[in-house]
Amino acid sequence: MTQTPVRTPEEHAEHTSHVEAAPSVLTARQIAEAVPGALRKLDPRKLVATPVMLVVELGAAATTVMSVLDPSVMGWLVTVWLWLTVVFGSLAESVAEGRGKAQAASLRALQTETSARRLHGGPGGAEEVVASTSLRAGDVVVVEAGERIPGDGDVIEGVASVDESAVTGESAPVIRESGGDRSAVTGGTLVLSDRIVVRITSDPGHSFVDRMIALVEGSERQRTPNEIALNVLLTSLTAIFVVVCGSLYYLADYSGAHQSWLVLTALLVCLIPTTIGALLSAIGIAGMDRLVRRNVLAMSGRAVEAAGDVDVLLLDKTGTITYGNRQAYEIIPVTGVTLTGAENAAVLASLSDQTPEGRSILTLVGRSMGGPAEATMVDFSATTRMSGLDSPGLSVRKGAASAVTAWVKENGGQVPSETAVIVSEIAETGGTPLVVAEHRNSDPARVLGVVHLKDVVKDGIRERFEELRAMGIKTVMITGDNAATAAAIAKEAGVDDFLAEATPEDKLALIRREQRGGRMVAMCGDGTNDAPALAQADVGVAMNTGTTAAKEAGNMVDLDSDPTKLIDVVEIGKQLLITRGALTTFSVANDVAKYFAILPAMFVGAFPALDVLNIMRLSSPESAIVSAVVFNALIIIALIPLALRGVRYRPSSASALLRRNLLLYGVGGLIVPFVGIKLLDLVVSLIPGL
Amino acid sequence: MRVWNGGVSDLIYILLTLMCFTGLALLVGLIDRRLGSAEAAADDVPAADETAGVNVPHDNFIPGAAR
Amino acid sequence: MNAILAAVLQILGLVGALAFSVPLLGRYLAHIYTSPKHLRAEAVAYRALKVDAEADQHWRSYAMSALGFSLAGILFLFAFGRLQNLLPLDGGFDPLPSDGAWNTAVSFVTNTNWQWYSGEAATGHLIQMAGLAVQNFVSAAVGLSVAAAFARGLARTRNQGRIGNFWVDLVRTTVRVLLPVAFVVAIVLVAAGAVQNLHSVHEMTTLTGGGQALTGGPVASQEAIKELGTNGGGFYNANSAHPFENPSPFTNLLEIWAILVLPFSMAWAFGLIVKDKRQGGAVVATMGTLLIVGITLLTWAEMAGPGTAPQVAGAAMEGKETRFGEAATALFAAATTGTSTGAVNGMHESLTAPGGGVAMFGMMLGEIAPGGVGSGLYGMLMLAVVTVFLCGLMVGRTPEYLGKKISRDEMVLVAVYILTTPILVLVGAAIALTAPAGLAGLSTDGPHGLSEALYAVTSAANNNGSAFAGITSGTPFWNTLLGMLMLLGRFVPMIFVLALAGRFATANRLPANSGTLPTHRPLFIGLLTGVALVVVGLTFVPALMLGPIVESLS
Repeated sequence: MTQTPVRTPEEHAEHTSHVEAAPSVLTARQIAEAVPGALRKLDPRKLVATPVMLVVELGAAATTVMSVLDPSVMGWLVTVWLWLTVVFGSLAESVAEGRGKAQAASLRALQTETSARRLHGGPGGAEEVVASTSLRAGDVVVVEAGERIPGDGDVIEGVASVDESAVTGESAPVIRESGGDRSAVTGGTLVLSDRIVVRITSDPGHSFVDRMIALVEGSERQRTPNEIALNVLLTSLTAIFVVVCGSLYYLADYSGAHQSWLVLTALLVCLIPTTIGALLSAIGIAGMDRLVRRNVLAMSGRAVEAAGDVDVLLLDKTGTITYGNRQAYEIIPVTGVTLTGAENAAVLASLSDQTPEGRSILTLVGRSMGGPAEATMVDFSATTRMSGLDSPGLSVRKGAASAVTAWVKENGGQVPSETAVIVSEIAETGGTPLVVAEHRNSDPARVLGVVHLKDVVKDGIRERFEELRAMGIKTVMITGDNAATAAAIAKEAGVDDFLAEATPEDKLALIRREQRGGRMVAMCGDGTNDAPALAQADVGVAMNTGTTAAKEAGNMVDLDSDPTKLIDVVEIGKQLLITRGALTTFSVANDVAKYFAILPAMFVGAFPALDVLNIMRLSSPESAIVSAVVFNALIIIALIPLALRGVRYRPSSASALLRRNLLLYGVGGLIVPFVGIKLLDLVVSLIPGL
Repeated sequence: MRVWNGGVSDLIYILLTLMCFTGLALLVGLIDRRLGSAEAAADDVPAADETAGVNVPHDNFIPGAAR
Repeated sequence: MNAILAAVLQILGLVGALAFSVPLLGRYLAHIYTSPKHLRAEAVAYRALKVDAEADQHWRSYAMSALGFSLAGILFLFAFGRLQNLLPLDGGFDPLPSDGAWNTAVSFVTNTNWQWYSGEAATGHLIQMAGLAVQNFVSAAVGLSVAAAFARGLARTRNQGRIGNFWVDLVRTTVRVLLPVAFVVAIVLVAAGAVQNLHSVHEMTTLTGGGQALTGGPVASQEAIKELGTNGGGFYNANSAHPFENPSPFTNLLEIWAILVLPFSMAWAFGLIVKDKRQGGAVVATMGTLLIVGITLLTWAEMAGPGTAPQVAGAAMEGKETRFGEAATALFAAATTGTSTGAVNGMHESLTAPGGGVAMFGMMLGEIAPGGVGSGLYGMLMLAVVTVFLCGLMVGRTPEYLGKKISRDEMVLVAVYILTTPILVLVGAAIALTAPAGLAGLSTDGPHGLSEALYAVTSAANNNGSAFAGITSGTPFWNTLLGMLMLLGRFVPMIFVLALAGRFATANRLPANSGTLPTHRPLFIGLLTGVALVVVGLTFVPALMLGPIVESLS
């Protein structure tokens, strides 16, 4: 059904901190599909935005003219490879965009026109059937089981289960109901049961799916502040090299070592930072794409970049730091009952309980037992607030203290005062008590014990926070718990700070305070009351299950609604910036080797002494120049996978990161071209007539 | 040593100097205009493309934050 | 004494003297540029000049004040040169020609002090003292003021682009720093044998019976500020090679110290102004590293360098003073080209080919090792911003320097700053080596001719002022070309620096944490040095290839 990769919850739990490489980065098919797009990008008007590539294209045009007027093998070789340099550059961008196209196609399938049952004059009005494309914000429609929701909106009446897998990739249906924080529905999703009335909130062409399509296709891409700043630097380097090469013509003439403009153009293209210039926009698109692959939609590239700069992470306790669902921690029998007796009853009562709480009881006790024959399972429901089983001669129940107490009394039993004491003790430490009771034959029902459910801190989360600390990011836990409980969990999880009994206003105030100190804040949220904080935060990740208001306010939406993703988002942001820096360094470092290849070759005719500098022992001046040009073009292709995948990133301190990347891309950038140009020279020198 | 060589070349050099400094002054003005708008926005108002359409139910909400 | 040992001892003595004086003077400078209090004399001067000394100027007003002050200086000096025969103490000299007067005016106001003429044969005492010496002080003060304003810009937050008061900076630098320090240096120089008088030409007969004209004058006082203010315009044509200017190895070392002390101190003061001593230390360390590399290479080139004559003689003594020797000449050359001084104690034309190349490269660095007074600091900080930008990306944060975010506008200003001088140098060289009038000035053709021209334009655009003496630059063509290069090479970058200062002063400061790139550690110092070398290397290697590199290899 969908192209969106989806991970099961287990995989989420296993997925630790590291941004790993996306699989199958570049295939021949991807490249083939990208070629037409790449050729369209050769329009000089489009290249103005990247002056580096514009200069290459102008250079290629100039050498074409020169080669036509004065044909030579070298002239044509240089011309062809200069054109290839430009094509490779736009190919990189085109490939990056192509990766979003598949997703866009599956999303477009949602937009097939459907009919909608509009209620004329609002809720309670007469029904009329209209095309879904004619719906406007404010219209009210009714949707029943088996129908597609015609547009984005909020449920204003009723409750229904909805299949949102087309958008989120999550196959389990979700509940959407009026009021509260689960009222938002997305156009194109399928209602599985019941009937809801929806108020449409978006006009045609502006729906959530429309925005997603635009985002994954990259058509709405605006260049981000850092990308623009880097472009300024690259442009100024280009300008310097234009002057260097231009003035060299006259200096060489003076020195009696006349240089043709063809050679100078080749030199210019080798010197200007074509590698990073060609890959810059691909890096940005790929960064967004990496987020999409994690089912996070960034509303702008800016937000992704900001994520790399985040200083403070506000994390909701539930679901991020603890396993959102409470787990059995211990079972306390009441006086007169053995621990085994209480445990057995708890297990029996949980056999039908598929909630994580229920399963955690089985895990805690550590032994399974078959239920008695002819047992009827009693499922947990919101009204009874108990689960258990009934069989001839034995009934067991487990559930909220008040519900079970009432059940015991109903069945003629007495509730010992001890029970209330245990229950309140557990509640005071922030835990949840579940009372276990049984009813045997005609005996009065009796309480056996109390299960202590407790928030359990996720495995590995502590280590992850330590990594964040090494990266200079402060973590703040947000929880509705009281201060004592919050402090205990904060200590256990190793967060830097916590905000207990947090109201949305508290969150907003906290964000503002941090921002006044110049810090960048990231948070996630889902409710309408989270909207101000989401909007205020520099990076606001809204859960897809959340309200429309929250989704509008945040600058990212997590389709999996997994708050832990916030950490991934930060890492992807950093990886994006590092990739840019690494390739820029590589590009500039390459120039050193190119000088050693080209300059002696240019002037060795006039000054034979310069042959000493031909340390690569290239075979002839012509082949040296052509090899450098070819290397310059091929390195772009070679680095496209790196640009798309992003450089490897492990959270560590700034100095450690810098040292590693400098070694790899700075020193590597010095060495690689020496080897590459030498190897190419061995091949190029075989070309006849050069 | 060349001696007094008339007022024309003096005038040329004085004009050259004045022209250079006029150019420099214009450069100051140009940069100031370009940065002037940035100063007005220096209180880190988020870019329009991200706050547009934000529907926030709190009246006291002020869009802020360096984005 | 072993020549190498002597060279090393000399350098150690210099380093020791600097290590002692730089922190002291640095602290004093930082105090001057941040204190709200005026001296009584200063307050009187402000009132007399109708200057509002309390005004905190926007960068625009600061820049306009600096430009206006410099324009007035150029016009005044130009008039002075043209009218010198009508004024007293003219020494009997004719007025300077228009192009020469203009070149000289621009040269001294831009702190370049390029001299197309022989000081003792063209300028009288009055213009030397009231014209040129005054500019030696104030042009240096302008440079220091701009650097101070830049440091304050980095130190401030949300200050609407206000970076201090140009007039206050100018007056304080002159009155409280340059005058007193120059006075002390001058006294020591006189005590050590330099000349200080107002005599006119003294005719005497030499031992062999020939006649010789000795020109005395206010030499020591000029000499002191010439070195301190990284000016370099000598009283005599021979500059600091002249025994009246620089009589002994001791004065030689003293003059080198005077050249280096203020640029280094300003970098130290920068750390104090931004309230993070380590940042100043890092800048000082980077400047020092580049300078040491320059000194080492130059000393090697002059003591053991290639070339037939040096190989036979054991060292390259041509064009050097025997009382200094190769090592002291190399040290002076590295200091004078590493700063924007341009004073010389030997003839750079006669440096060995690699030695001349190193001297040229020192200037091409953009005067940052340690650079001109003030201009060295801001040049280095501009490169620091570039370094931070490249490396900041590699640690996964949008780049920031001292908590100031580097985004598009900042990058534009830095980029055009970095662009300006190389463009001036390379375009200037191309013009000089193409125009017949340019070629006419060169003493030779081939690679050495190219070196002469390249050295001249590099020296002018970087406001150094030293030259390969073979060049005949006193022609309208060269005077105009070099004058333009000096003027644009001084003020265009200065405007970008002040604009960036205003921008930083407006911006908020981001707090540092362990994810921030530290800009005071050895790693960063190494990177900054590397970026400076690579950026300059990539820009100038092709030109150098056709000059000094070819010369060295032939």
